[in-house]
Amino acid sequence: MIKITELEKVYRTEEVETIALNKLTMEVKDGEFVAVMGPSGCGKSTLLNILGLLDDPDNGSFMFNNIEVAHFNERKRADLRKHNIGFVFQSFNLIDELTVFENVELPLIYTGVKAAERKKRVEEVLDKVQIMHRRNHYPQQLSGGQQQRVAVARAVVNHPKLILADEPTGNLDSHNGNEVMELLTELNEQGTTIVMVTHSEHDARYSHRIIRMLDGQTVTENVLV
Amino acid sequence: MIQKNKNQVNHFIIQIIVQTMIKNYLKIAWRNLFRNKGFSITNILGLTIGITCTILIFLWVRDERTYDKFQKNYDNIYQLMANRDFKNNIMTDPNMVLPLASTLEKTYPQIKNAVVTTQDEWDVFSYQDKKIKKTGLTVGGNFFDVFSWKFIKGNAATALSDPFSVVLTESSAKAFFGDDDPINKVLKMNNTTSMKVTSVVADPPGNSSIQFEFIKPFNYSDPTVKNDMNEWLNSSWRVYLQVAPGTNMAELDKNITALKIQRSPDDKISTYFSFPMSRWRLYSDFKDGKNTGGMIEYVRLFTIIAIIILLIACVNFMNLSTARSEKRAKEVGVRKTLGSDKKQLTLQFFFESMMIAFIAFIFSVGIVFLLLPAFNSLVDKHLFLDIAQPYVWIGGLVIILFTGVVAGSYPALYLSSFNPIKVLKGTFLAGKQAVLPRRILVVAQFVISILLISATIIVYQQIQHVKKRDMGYNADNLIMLDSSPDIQKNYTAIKDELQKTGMVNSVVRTFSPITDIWWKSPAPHWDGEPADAKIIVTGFATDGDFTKTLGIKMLQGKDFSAMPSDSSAMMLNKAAVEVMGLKTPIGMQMRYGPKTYTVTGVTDNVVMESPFKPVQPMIIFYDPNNTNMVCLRLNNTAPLQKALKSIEAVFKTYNPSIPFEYKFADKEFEKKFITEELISKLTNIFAGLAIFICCIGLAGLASFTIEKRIREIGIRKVLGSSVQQILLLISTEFLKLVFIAFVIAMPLAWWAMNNWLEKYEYRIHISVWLFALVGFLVLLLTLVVVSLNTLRAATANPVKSLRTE
Repeated sequence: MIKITELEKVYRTEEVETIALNKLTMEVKDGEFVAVMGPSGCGKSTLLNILGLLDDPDNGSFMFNNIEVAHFNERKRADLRKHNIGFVFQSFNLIDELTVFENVELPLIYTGVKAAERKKRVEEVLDKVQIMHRRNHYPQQLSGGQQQRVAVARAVVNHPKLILADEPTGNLDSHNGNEVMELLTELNEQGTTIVMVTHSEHDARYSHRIIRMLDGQTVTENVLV
Repeated sequence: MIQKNKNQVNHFIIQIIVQTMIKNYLKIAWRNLFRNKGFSITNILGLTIGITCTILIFLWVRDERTYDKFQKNYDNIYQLMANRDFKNNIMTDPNMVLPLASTLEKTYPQIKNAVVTTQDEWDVFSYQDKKIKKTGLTVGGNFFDVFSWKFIKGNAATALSDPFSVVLTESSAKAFFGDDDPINKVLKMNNTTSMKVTSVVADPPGNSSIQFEFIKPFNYSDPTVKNDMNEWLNSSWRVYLQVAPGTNMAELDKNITALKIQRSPDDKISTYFSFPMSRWRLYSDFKDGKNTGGMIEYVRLFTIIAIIILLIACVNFMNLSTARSEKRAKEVGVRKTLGSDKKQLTLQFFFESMMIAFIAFIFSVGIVFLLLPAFNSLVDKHLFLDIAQPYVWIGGLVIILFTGVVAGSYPALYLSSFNPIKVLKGTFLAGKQAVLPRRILVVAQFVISILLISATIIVYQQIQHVKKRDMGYNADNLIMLDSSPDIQKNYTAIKDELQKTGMVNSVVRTFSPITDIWWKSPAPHWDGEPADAKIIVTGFATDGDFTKTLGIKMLQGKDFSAMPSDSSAMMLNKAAVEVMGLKTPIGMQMRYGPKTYTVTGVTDNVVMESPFKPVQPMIIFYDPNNTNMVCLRLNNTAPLQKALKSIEAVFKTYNPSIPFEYKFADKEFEKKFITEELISKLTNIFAGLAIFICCIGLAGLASFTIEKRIREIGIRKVLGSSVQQILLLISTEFLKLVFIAFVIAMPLAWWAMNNWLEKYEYRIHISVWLFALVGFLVLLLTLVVVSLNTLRAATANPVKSLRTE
C-alpha cells in the first residue's frame, strides 16, 4: 500500500534548519498494523503528515497504492485523502459545535454521500464503537474515551483503506486506552491498514511490526507477529 | 493639629495613588495599542472615518443653523409676508407696496424701524474703462439701522444720506478700484446716473439670507418712485421690521392687515404676518398659508446621519473589543486576583477607548483640513474649522467623550465582569457570551448601511426620473439674456442682424426666462365658467416665433403671427384647457382685466417652475412691450464660441451700455436640482463611508472568528473539505446576519423613502427590484470581505493549526 524511498523533509525558519526526514525508506503492506516509535523530534509526526497527504516531501518517492503522490498538488492530495485515509488524533480533534452524529457525518458530506446513505452509515459505525446512545450529545459532554471512540468512528465511516493514528491513547487512561486499541485491532482484522505513532510500548504491542525512528531515519524494525 | 496633618498626609497619599493609577492605565493602554496593531489600526481607521464625517456634517449643520445670527437685531427682525387667499388655494409671498414701511413705522411705536428694499436687481456700473453688471438692493434710509454689516470704510450714519450714493461690498470695490481708496469716487450707473461711493462694507457672509454686491438708497424725488409712494395695490417690494423686544407680534400682524385693508379696500385676499429672521433660512416653505418647514428637514436628517455614522464606528470598536476578549481575559483575571476591583478595571478599559478616540480625533481633524476645500465646493459653502473659536474645542471634546464612552461602555463593562477563577483556570470561554449582542450590533450596522444605500439609489433615481421628464421645450442650444430699453428699441434690427450671422436659427422675446415663472394671477373669465372656479394661472407674454424658437409643440390652433391683431389673441397651455374644462378652446372669448381675448392656440405643457411638480395652467399673451428677456435658438451646426462672438457683436452695437451676458437654458434648468443634487451627493458619500466602516468591522470580526475556528477549519480540511467549502462555512455565519439586516431594513427603507418622495408630485415609485439589487450587492460585498479574510486560513496547511493544539 505504501512504499517510501529516500524521503526527505526539511523545515526552515529564519534561524535554524531542521531535517525532519533524512532519506527515509519504508514500506507498509495492505492489511498491516504498523507502530512507529521514537523520541520527540525524531520525525514521527512529519512522517505521519506526509503519509496522510497533509504535507508534501521535499525529495524522494512516495508510492500510495502504486501511484506516485510525492508531487501531487493540494487539490489532488485532498481528493485522494478524503477517499482513502482516516485520521485519529491524540487530542481527538472533534468539532465542539457539532453533535457526535454530525462530527461522524462530516467526512461523508465532503465525499458527497447522499443524506439517507449518510444516516445509515453513521448509525452503523456509531453502533460499532458503541456510542449510538450518545449520538445527539456534544463532544464536551463525553468522557475522553468516548470522544476518542467518536473520533475513530469518524475515521472509519468512509471505509478508508488506511488509518493513521497519532498517539491515539495519549490523552486517555489505561482502561479507555485499551478499549481504543482493541477497536483499532478489530478494524485491522477487518482489513484496514493502520499506521500508528505512539510512545507507549504497551500500545505498540497491538501492532504487527514496530518501526523505530531516530533523527529522521528508521533505525530498527521489530516484527511482532 | 495632628489630625489636620494626618488628613493632609492621607490626601497626599491618595493623590499619589490616583496619579500612579492613571499613569499605569495610560501605560497599559498605550502598550495595548501597539501590541495589537491590527486591532488598533482597524479601530482607529473606523473611528477616524466616522469622526471625520461627523465633523464635516456638523460644520455644515452649524453653518445652516447660524444663518443670519451675526445680525445684532436677530431676535427682533421680521420680514413682512402676505397670505393671498384665492378661495381654497392660499399662496404666500413677500411682495409689499412701497409706502407700507414708512407708514407702519409712523403708525406703530412698537416698530422701531421698518425698512423697504427692492428685490434683487441688477445695474451696470462703469468706472473708467471698466463696465460691470452688479446685483444689489435699493433700500430705505434706515437699512443700516436694522441690519448689521461690517463697515470697512465710511459709516452707517452717512452711507445713504444722499440719494446718489452707493455702498459697495469689499469685492465690488476691488473690482472697480483695485487697491485705490474707493471713497468719494464716482460710478456711472446704467450709463446715466452718477453715484458716489460713500462706504465699503465686508461681503455679506455665506450664511446671510440677504446677499448683495451694492446698496443704494431710494431716490424719493424720482417721479417713478414718487408715483409708487402713492401706490397701495401694486406690490413688488420687500419690507423688514425691527420691533421693540417683547412686542406682541400676533396683535401687530392683525393691525398691519387692518391698516392695509383700510388703505387698499380693493385687496380683499391678503392677510399679513411677520416672519421672524430665525426661520428665514430653515423654514422657508409655505403650503396653504402655513409654514411647513424647508431646509430644516435636511439639517435634521444629516445631524442624525452624522450621529449614526459615528455610532457605526463605535459599534466596530465594541465588536472587536469583545471579540478579542479571550486575549484580555487573562489580564483581567490577574488584575482581579491582585486586588483590582471592577470599578478600576472599567475605568482602565474606558481609558483605552478614550485614547483610541483621541487618536482618531486628531487624525480626523487633519483629514478635515485636507478635505474642506473639496467638501466646500461640493456643498457650495465656505466652511472652515476656526480653531480660535471655543465651539470647536467644546465640539471636539464632546466628540471624543461621546466616542470614547459609547465605544468603551460595553467592552469595559463586559471585560471587567469576568470571573477571575474561571478565567485563570482556563475553563472560561471568553467571547462566547458576547456573541449575541455582537450579532445584534452587526445586524444594526447593516440595517443602517442598507437604508443609506437604498436612500442613495432612490434619490438618484428620482433626480434622473425628473431630469428625463419631457419639459415641453428644447433646452439645448437655447440662450437667454436680459432685455433692456435699448434692446426693445432696436429689436427689429437686432433680430435681423442675428439671423444674418447664420449662427442663430430664431429669436423671441419673452416675459420671463423659460426656466422661471414671474406672473401668477386668477384665471380669466369665460362664458360657461362654473360659479366655483377658483383657478390660479401663470401668465406669459411673448412675441412672434414663440413656439418655433423655444421648440414648443402646438396642440391646437396656431402660434402668434406677430401681427398687430395678435394683441387681442391669447394662447392657453394644455393644463389650462384641462383645468378650465374647455372642450373646444379655439375661438373662445376670455375676459382678463379690462380686455377680452380670443383663444387662438393651445400649446403643450412647458415645465418652467419646479420640475418635481405638475405644470400649472398658463395663459400666453402677445405683448412684445411687456417682455424682459430675449431667447435665442442657436444654429446647432455652428461652433459655439464663434456663435457667441457674432451674437455679442450684434448686441454690442445695439445695446452698448450693458455688458453682453447670457445664460444657457439647460444650465438654468440644472439649477432647479441644487437641493436634490446636494442631498444626492451627500447621501452618496455618507452611505459609501458607512458601508466602508461596516466592512472594516466585518473584516475585523471575520478575522477573529477565523482565529477562534482555526482548529475547526484544520479538522474539516483533514476530513476533506475544499477551500470553497471553508469559505462558505465562515461566510454563511455573516451572510445570515446580513440577510436578517436586509429583512429589517427593507420595509424601513421603503417607508422612509416613500415619505420623502411624497414631497414630490412628479415622482418615481419604488420598485421591488431596487431592494433585490441592494440586497444582492450587500450580500456580495459581505461575501467578498469575509472571503478575503478567510482565504488565508482556508488555504493554510491544516497540519499547522492542529499542531498548535
